[in-house]
Amino acid sequence: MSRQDFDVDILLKEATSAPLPEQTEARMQTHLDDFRKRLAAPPKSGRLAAWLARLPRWAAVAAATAAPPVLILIAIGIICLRSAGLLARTAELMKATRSYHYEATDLINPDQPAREFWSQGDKTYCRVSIKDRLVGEAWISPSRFVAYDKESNRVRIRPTDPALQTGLEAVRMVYDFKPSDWKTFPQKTINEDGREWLVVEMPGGGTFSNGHSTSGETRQRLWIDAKTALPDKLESLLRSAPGAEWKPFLLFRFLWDNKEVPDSLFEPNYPATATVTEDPWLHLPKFPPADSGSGILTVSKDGKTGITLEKAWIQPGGLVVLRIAYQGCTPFGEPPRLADPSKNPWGLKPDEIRPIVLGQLILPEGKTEPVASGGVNNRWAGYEVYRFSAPPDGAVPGKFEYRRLLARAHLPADGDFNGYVNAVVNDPSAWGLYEFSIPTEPYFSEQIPEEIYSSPNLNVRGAFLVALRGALAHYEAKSPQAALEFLRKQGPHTQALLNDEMQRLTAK
Amino acid sequence: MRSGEAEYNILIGPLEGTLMTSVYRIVQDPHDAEDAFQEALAKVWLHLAKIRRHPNPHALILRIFANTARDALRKRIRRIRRENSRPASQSYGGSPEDPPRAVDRGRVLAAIAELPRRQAEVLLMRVVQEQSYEAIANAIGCSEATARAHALRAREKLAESLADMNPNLRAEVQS
Repeated sequence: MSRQDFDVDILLKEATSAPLPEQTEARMQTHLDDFRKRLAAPPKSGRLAAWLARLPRWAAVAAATAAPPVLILIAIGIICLRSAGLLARTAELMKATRSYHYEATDLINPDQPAREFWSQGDKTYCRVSIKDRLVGEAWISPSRFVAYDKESNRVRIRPTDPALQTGLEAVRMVYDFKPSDWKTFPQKTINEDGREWLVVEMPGGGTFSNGHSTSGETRQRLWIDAKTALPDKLESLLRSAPGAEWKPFLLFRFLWDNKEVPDSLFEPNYPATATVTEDPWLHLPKFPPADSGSGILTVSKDGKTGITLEKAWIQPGGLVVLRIAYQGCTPFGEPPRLADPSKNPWGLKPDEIRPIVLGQLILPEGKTEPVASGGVNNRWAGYEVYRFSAPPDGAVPGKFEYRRLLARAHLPADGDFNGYVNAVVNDPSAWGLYEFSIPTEPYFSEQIPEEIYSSPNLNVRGAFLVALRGALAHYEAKSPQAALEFLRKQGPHTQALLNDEMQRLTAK
Repeated sequence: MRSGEAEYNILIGPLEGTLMTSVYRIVQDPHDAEDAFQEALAKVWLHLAKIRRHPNPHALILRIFANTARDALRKRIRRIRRENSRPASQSYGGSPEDPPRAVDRGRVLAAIAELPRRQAEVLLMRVVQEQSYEAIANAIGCSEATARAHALRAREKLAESLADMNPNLRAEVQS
């Protein structure tokens, strides 16, 4: 220690040598006693921290690190459990429901007909009105569908095809509520309109709920009242193909009151003066088998366009609607606008399409007539609409057949070939167009899925067949061996459908 | 795992006297010393986990008390300067009942309060709490040589600022 250190230390020691006053010492001792008590018995809120503090360092670090995610998981778990419990309750209530009432509307246009449904057991009654003016009624049971058109005073009776009752399908999805069908994780309730809601979504999409198409998509949100656990409205967005315009549809004002509805409401009740037409299939035990659709592919001379015709049935008194697409690509993904034939990637102009389509129609002479025709139409973005109907004279014996444009295949011989063969079907019974794409090389590597054959919609199956034949034509243009190889990669249903082609190619 | 009572006896018990006297000697005001003592205990409570894991918990506790007392001293000096606009050394004379002394304690303590924090804490732990350099180094988390260097610089600064109080010191500084 140097002298300087020594002298400074002496100064410091002298300066800090004050004796501790007794009173101050006593008060400090009190603080020490308090500290001792606190250490011996930590307060409740500090117990966890004190317990953690006494753990070995590695254990304390592990516990402190794991705590936040564990707490978050617990919170999510509580939310999920609550929503899962609510959904289970909804399913239970739906199962116990025997009668209900709801309304449906197409949100695109408020002037569209509004529908009001009453259901009890397996029967449904529907009222269709436009601005409070009753325009039609329908009585639906598992065996038959009876529709009364008040304006024409006509009644159509046909067998009930569950898959074609658009609208009913949606409510069935609610009515047969299964929590596992809906996206519930993680699901929080929201407050809106002064009520607490659990909003669940139908995950994915890919198919229309009624199984019409594998290329259509749906987005559906169901609003469940968190207080009553009962669904209140179902919001739907539908589109016929990827990229197409979404079309909203709303089912709302659900009343799941189990209120006894008089059976008479579900009994067809139309004026005795109404003209009744019965579908000839009404008394058949079941629909035609799924593979009954057959198509004939006609390829245009330039090899770019194929047209398929199919034999189909028209109901006496029924309507056939044809929509002729001028722009094969623009209906999908672009806003409606006037058709521009110069942009038609199909290589055909309206004047060329129209005669082909109309020329291919073979309608029973003297028994059909066009009831409406329209030019290029803004809403349909370049579609021409023709409607034909059979005269409602009731004298039409049974069923008759006609041929119509079913679909067109866009063959890859076109300059903008992108590796896909596309087919479009005009389906008046559903929302719009369906499009199928069958990949060819360089994308094609696997077997084409065959679920489409189970679709009850002949048009859909036919359009798929068109695309299939288009792909086959593409391969055949290269060599018969390539076409045969393409066919051999396919599943049994596809091979059966194209059996004649396979035989022809083998013979080659 | 130790009980709270046993832990107190191990951590605080042996230091009770040192803690109380060192805080008072640094602050040199009964009320401020008591407040500083209570505040230091609260800091110990807050950092209990760290203290438990420390290789020399006693040194760390002493450091906490020394630092808290130094902070209280600095606050006191600032407060007096602000209120009286007088030199701190003239008004800072410790407790009224203390006997008169040859050394101007106010000046010495004010000079300590002006030291950089690390130098002040090393010096206070060394001189007032009479800790070894090894313990001081453990407490502040440095090497023993660094602790010695801090103490040396602190002494040099004090010798310079207090040179007029001691002829030996004055000669040392002038040489």
